[in-house]
Amino acid sequence: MNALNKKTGLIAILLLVVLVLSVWFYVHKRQNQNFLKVNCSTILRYNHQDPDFVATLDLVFRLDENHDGQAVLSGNIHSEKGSKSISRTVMFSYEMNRPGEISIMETRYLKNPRDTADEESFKSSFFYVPDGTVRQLRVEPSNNGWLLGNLQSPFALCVNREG
Amino acid sequence: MVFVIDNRVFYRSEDGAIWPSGDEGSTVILTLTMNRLLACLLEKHGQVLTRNELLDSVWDAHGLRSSSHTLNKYISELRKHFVQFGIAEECITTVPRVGFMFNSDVEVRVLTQSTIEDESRLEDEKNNAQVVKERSPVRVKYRNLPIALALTVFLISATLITLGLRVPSKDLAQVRELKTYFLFNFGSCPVYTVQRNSASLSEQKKDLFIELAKENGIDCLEGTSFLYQVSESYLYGNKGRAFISRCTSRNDKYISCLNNYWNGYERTQ
Repeated sequence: MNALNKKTGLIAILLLVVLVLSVWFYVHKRQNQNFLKVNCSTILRYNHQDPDFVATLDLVFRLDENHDGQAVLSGNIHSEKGSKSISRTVMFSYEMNRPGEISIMETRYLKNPRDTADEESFKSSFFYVPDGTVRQLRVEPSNNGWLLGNLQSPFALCVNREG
Repeated sequence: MVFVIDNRVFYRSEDGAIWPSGDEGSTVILTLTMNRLLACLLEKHGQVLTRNELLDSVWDAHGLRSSSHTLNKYISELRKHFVQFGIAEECITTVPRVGFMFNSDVEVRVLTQSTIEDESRLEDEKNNAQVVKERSPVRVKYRNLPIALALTVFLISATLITLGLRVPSKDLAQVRELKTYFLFNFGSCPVYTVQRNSASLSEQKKDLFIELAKENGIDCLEGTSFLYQVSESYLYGNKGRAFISRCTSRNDKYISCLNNYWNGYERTQ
């Protein structure tokens, strides 16, 4: 009976050690995960074909230490259908894949009441990420700004905001 | 001799021990007189014993003085013992003006030595069975607990390790400053590109820049510079992308930028 108890105790200790090591490993990896701290703004004139539209947007782009990000878009979209206002916040989670490149996922959209832009135009923009998918963005430092882009081309040089 | 009364109470006449079935710890030892009185009543189970018969055989025959009052007191004590051991029915019946009898409706058995052993064994087995019955579900319930706990710990550990391994582990802390390459001066404004410019494509890039700038009203303003990028497919007249950013700077720091981005006939996805 004593031998059995001793064996059970040893197994329990072993399991506890395994659990503690696993937790430590996970926490260590998470803590060592790199992040970018970005808080910048810029103006973007976006010319798009098929669908044809030109969007002039004020863009505020943020990446936080906790791997959450925000892109605040406000401005106008001009197309054959007329001029529409755009005013929405895109919130997302991000991970760094390699230096200067992030994956954005779990995107949520907050649309202000004055946002009248049609979804088709918005879905053609950089920050639209269909559910369950991941989008790659390049974020590279340049002086006191960040050059934002997709994998093919930069699309905005975003200047750091004071404070 | 051991009597079993109403299958609930055991009584041993040799020493006057009386105990409830299955609970020998509650054994009560009757006084000698009370023991003789109960033995008399049980020997004549179902028969009336007169007061005088009882007084003679229990007290007088043993040189003791007796009275009817004493007899009543002893009978009352015996009744209390039976009630205490769980026999609700009256065991000792009073026959008015005659005497007492042990109630014929209450079953009384006499056990021999072998029967006692059998009964004792049966009782032990019954008790043991009850204990086993009570313990079994608990044992079954908790026997698998260590295995379940071990599996849970294993699964949690495996999940944490898998998630930990999926966390990008490359050293990404050193994000390099963007390198730019001078292409030409557009008016007094320098135009830089993000990629190196080969001699063969530089002229085409310049031409395309000027073309895009004129078409879209992008002028050179004092103190501004341009950052420019165009895809090669665009240069060769196919669908592609182009990017021109005009930035105002002071002391080598950007103040603001106006970005122009063309996404030819291709979607960004």
